[in-house]
Amino acid sequence: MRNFLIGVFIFWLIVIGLIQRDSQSREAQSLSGVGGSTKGRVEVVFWHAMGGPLGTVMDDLINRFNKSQPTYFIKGIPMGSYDTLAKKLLASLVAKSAPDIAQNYETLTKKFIKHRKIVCLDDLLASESENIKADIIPVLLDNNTFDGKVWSFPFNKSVPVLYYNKDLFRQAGLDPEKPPTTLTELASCARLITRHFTPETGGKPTVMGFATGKANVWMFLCRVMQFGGRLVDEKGGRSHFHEDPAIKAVAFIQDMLREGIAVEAQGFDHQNDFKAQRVAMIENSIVSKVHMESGLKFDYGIAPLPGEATRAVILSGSNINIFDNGDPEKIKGAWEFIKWFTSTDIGAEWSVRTTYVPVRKSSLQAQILMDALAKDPNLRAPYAELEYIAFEPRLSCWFEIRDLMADVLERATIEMGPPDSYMKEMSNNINAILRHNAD
Amino acid sequence: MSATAKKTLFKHPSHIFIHALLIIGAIFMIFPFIWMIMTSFKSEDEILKTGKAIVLLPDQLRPSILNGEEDRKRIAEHERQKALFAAQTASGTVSRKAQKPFELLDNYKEAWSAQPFYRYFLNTFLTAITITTGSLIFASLAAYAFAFFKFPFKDQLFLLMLGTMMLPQQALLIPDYIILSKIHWINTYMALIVPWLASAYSVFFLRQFFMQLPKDLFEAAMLDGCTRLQFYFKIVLPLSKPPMVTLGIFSFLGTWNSFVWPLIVTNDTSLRVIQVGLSYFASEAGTRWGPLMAASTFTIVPLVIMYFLAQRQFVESQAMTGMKE
Repeated sequence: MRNFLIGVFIFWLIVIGLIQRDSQSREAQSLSGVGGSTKGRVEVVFWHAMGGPLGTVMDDLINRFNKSQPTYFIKGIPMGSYDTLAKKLLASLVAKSAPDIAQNYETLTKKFIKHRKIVCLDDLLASESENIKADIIPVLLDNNTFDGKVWSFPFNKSVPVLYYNKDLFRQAGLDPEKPPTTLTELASCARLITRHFTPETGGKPTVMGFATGKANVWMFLCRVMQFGGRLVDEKGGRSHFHEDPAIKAVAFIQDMLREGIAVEAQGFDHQNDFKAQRVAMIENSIVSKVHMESGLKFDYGIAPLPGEATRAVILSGSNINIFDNGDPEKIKGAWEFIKWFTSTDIGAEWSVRTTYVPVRKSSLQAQILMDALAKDPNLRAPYAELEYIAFEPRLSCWFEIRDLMADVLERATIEMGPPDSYMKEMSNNINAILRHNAD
Repeated sequence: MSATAKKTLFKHPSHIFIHALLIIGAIFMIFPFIWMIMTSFKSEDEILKTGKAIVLLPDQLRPSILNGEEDRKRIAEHERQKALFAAQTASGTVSRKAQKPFELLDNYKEAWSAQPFYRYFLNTFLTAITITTGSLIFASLAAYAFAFFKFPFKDQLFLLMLGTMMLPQQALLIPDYIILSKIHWINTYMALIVPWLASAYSVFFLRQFFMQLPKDLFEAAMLDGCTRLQFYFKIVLPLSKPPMVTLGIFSFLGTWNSFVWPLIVTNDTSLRVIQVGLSYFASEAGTRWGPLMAASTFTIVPLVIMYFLAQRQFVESQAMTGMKE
């Protein structure tokens, strides 16, 4: 036992020594380093939730900003998922140790406005000689405007799209250049494909027509709007889910599942099924393209999400907040970075490399974006959707409502009961939450 | 040893049944690990799509006799791409879009370079060892006091301490963060280590064990002029190897696996621990299974080594348990 303890102690000392050495080499590196020296510059701390391939692009752009000017130094820190980032933000704000900028959802922005934690961007926008506001894609500006004031800036906003396997389309006798444009067409495509891949002797089909995520609130909301429906009023707080379009949205999935031409997957499993060519069509965020790309070894297409009564998609992703930490220099640095990041060319580059929607209208005309579209026609879908994008209600109790909705949606496709009863229940429960949370 | 082992192993017919049960249990326990290790050697293509042949073994390690039709197709395609890539490299005409064909250790290479795992390992070792030894020292001293001494409000204090076990960590996250922030410990090793040095569970666990030690022993030692600390070091500690080793393993594993706390209280990559590093491979739009499994594999290697090193202590202490009565 004694020898064991001595061994552990020696190991512990070695670890401390190695940490010391590693710290020194890191320090040397950062002095000579990446994005230039931090010495004498205003350091702006930026918390974000970009991991994996998206994080690589983010780091690259931050480094370029740091090199592009001598005054400010952006220190980007990845914080894991959006949820952990949100938790950390809340804790740090209470403890008065908030970062200078952070990615954030609208729901929390509302809380931050109420507690005066963030900087209103109107004055910063007004101080610019260029009319930036006029160049921002209108719906993105609306998304960040609260009571007539711009409180956050659109940063990484994504849209859902339809991924489809052109090879499987061909094999099933469908035109690979004509993806479904309405939900009715989507169902009939799924039916044809599933039938084609069902063995004549009976048994399970080797390829399913369509797959979506189980209890996916985002896709449900898109479908409600595609059937011409409304969601929840931001002002006055009333749910519209008991109305016809929402009932149709649930019935649509229930019918496809009952017919056996679609499957629901947990989490991102339908992405894997798509990669493995077990499913011919899936709906998901355009950002998934970046993640799936290395696994897509077949001819695939990306199309705008099908509509029905109307075309509609809902934005996802986050905006960026500047926190009021009492140092005007840092606020200025933060603003310079946001401006640079969303500027015409950089915004277009970010969009091309990550598939997030650009913030500015002028980015859509940028050369880099044009070149990318010419090279990869699959990138067109998200830009085509820009005409009719909408956003989720910005209520401070929205996450609570979303959880409730996911719960009801999950039961609707497991129990397969009458859709109107689920929607009535959903609407009533949401209205009950709204009664206690006015905003 | 083997002869005696054999004898005791099947001393009784029921032992065969017990061993069979244990072996089945062991297979269930080890299966996810085998799956993880095997997946770490597979390309993404292979992870998602395997033919009818044995699913577990990666293409490059599987005898060809086990391959199904689909596997053969995939392997042939991979060979073709490999040859193509080699030819292109040789002639210097690698097109920019050509991906390097997958090789056995690619996931490991990608995972190791994706994040500074070297530093994460060092940080995790530092916190795990410090917390384990520290919490054992503090917990055993506190348990010793609760088990052997009389002092005012002893029971109330003990209950108060037990009460802290009722609060879930999630509920304490933000208040704890605020305390640490007020004493400027956010983003330091202190934040990673100090809050975990005291553990109500360990105190409770050890106190229960100490209570079983005969009180007469304590009184006799005191009469013979033994000081309280001497009694603790010379009698209590040597007798309580089994619970100490058990707690040590718990606390080491717990620290090794902790994720939310280190993520919340640190900002710099130089202070991050391995679990935070692992989360890098799962993001909002999908999970990179290959590199994630490779990284998971190398994060458990030190645990396995530690276990083998500590195993002797563990078995020894098990033997001690038998001798006590």
